[in-house]
Amino acid sequence: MKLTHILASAGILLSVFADASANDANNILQQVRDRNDGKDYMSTVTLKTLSDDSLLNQRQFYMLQKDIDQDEVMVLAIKAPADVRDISFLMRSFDEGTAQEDEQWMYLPAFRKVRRISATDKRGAFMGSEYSYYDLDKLRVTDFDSKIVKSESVNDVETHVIERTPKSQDVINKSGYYKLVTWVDKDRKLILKQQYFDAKGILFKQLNVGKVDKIQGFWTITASTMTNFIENKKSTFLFHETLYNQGIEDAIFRKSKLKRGIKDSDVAELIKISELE
Amino acid sequence: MHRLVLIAVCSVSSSSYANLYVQPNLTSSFGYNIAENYATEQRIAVGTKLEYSTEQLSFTFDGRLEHDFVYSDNERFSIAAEDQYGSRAIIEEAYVSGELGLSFWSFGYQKVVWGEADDLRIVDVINPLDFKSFILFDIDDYRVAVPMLKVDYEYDNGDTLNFITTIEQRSNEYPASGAEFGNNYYPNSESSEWGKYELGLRYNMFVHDTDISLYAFHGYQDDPVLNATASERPDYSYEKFSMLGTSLSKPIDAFVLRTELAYFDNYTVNDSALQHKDVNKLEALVGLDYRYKDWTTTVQYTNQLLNGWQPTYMIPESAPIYTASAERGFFANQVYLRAALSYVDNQGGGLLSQLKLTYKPNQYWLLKLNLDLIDGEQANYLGAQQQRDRIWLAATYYF
Repeated sequence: MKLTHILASAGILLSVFADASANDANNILQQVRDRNDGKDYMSTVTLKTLSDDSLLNQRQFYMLQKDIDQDEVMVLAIKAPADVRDISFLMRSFDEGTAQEDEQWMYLPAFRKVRRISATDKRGAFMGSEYSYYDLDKLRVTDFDSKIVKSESVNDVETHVIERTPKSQDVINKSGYYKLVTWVDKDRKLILKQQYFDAKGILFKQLNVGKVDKIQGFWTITASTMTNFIENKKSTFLFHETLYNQGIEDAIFRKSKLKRGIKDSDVAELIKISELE
Repeated sequence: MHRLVLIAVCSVSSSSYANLYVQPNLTSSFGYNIAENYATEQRIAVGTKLEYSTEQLSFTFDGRLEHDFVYSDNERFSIAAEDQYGSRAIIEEAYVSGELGLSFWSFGYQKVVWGEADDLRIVDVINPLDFKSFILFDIDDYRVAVPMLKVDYEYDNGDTLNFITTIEQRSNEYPASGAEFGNNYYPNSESSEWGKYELGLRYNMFVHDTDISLYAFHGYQDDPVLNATASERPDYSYEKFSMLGTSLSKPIDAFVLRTELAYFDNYTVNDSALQHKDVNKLEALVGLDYRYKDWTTTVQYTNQLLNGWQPTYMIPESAPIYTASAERGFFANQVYLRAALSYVDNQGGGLLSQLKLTYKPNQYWLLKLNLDLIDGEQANYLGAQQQRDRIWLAATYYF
C-alpha cells in the first residue's frame, strides 16, 4: 500500500515536472517568437546551395518583413541570377492564436501573374535549397509538444535544448518533420541550432547559425547553414546590409506590388545591391 | 566576377537616384520535326533586358533580334515563310512607368495577363498570340506585346482597379502558307492598325480568403472573320465585341481552386457561305492545383457555349478542353521538369503531349529541351498538326 502511494506520488511529481518542463519550454519558445525584431526589417540575402563543396546554385534577393496589425508579412524578391530575376513571394502569417492558415502568393514573370499557393504543404524546397518553405516561417509554438531536455553550450553560448514533437498529423504533413531538437540561446532568445528527424527517427537535416550581429540594437542572425545529411548537400543564407525600422510602407506588401516587382529603386536608399561573387 | 552583367546603383546627388540594369543574352535553338524528319528551326537570337529607373520614372525593355537559317535555300518552306520568319525584331516589352499618388501608370508595348487559367485564355483577351510555333509550353512565349496605356489604382484596403486602353489593334499572327504550321487557320491574316482603340477594366479584391476579379473589355477580336469575295485571296476583317468576366482563386487544404467565367457579346463568326453571324458566347474554366512536397500539379477544364449556334457555322458549338500538368525541380533546381497533356474533345479529338526539361549548369548557361507529340483526327484543331511532332533544343548564354 505504501509502495503504491510512493509510486503514485512519484508519478504525480514526474508529471508535475513534465508539465513544468513543457510550460518552461513553451515560455522560452514564445519568447523566441515574441522577441523584439523591430517594426520592419529589410535585407539583401544570398542563398547558396552546395554539394560536396561544389556550387549548385546561388540566388540573391531582397527580404522585407513588417508587422501589420497582428500579422507578419514578408516579401522575397529575387534579383539574380537573370533567369529567375523578379520571381517574388508574398507571405502573410497570422497570430498563432487565430489558428488561421497562412496566405501565400507567388509571382512568376514567365506567367505574368500572381498565383495563389496553398499553405498547407510547406515541405517543398525553397528555390531548390535545403531550406523548405516551412523553415522560412516564423517559429510556431503551439504546433508542437515541447520539453526542455538539458542545457548545453553552442560555440560558448549557453542554450536550452528543447525537444519538440508535432501535435498532429496535419503539422507533420505541413512541415515534414516528426521531431525537432532546438537549441535556444538563453540570453538572446535566438535559435542557434536545430535538428530535424524523419518518420524513422533519423536525423536528416541540421540548421547551424554561423553568425549573429547586433544591428541597430537588435540581435540578428546574419549567416546560417542547413545541412542535409541524406543528400549530402548544404544551403547557406547570408544576410547583408540588414536594416530595421526603415518605415517600409504597407503598399510594398501587396499583391499588386508583387506583380510590378520590388524594384531596386524601392529600396535603393536603404540597400545597395552588390554583384554576385 | 560576372563583369558583363551591369547592376549599377548611381547616386547622382544626395536626393536623386538612378539605377541601370542590363542583361544581354545570346540564344541558339534548333527545332526538328520527328514525324517526318526535317529541321524546322536553326535560330540565333541576340536579346537584352534593360531597366533604367529614377526616383520618378522607370524604363523597361525586353527584346531580341533573331535570324533563322532554316529558311536559307530550303525548298521545304515557302518564300512567304522566309519573309515572315527569316529575320525578326521582337519587342517583348518596352514601356515607361511611374507612380502618381496611389496610382501606377505605364505606357508602351506591354503584355497584360488577365485571369487565373494556365496557358488557356478565357478572360485573357488583351494581347494577341503569335502562332509561328503553334502551341508552345508557356503561353507567354507567344503572346504579342501591344502598345497601351495602363493605369493601376490601389485602394486603401488593397483592392485594385486596372484601366487599359490599347492604341493599336493587333491580331493573332498566323504563319504564311508553306511555313511549318502554315496549314493553320487564317494564313496571311496578320493585321495591325494604329488608332483603333480597345478598352479594358479589371477590379481585383480579396474577400473571405478568396481572390476575386471582375473584368470588362470592349475591343476587336484577335481572330479574323472571312469576307465573301470574288477574289481567290481571302479577305479578312476584325470585328468588335464586348466581354464581361470574373475569376477567382481560393485555397482549399492542399488545393487551390481557380475558376473563370466570361460572357462575350456580339461575337462574330462565319457560316459556310462566309456570311458574318453574331453570337453570344459563354466560356468557363475550372482548374485545380495541388502541391505535394516539391511537386505542383494542375488539372483544368474549359468549355464554351454559343447562343444561337447553327450547324452551318464554321466554329463548333462547344469545344471542351482538358489539361493536366505536373512540374518540379531536381538537384537544387538545376534541372526542372514540366510535363503537360492537353485534349481538345471535339471533331474526333486531339491530344498534345508536352515535355519540357530545363538544365542550368551555372548562372551563365540555360539549356532547354522541349518535346511535343501531337495526335488526333485531321478535323480537330490539335489533330490537324499530327505530322508535326517535334523536338526543340535551345541554349541561352547570359553575359
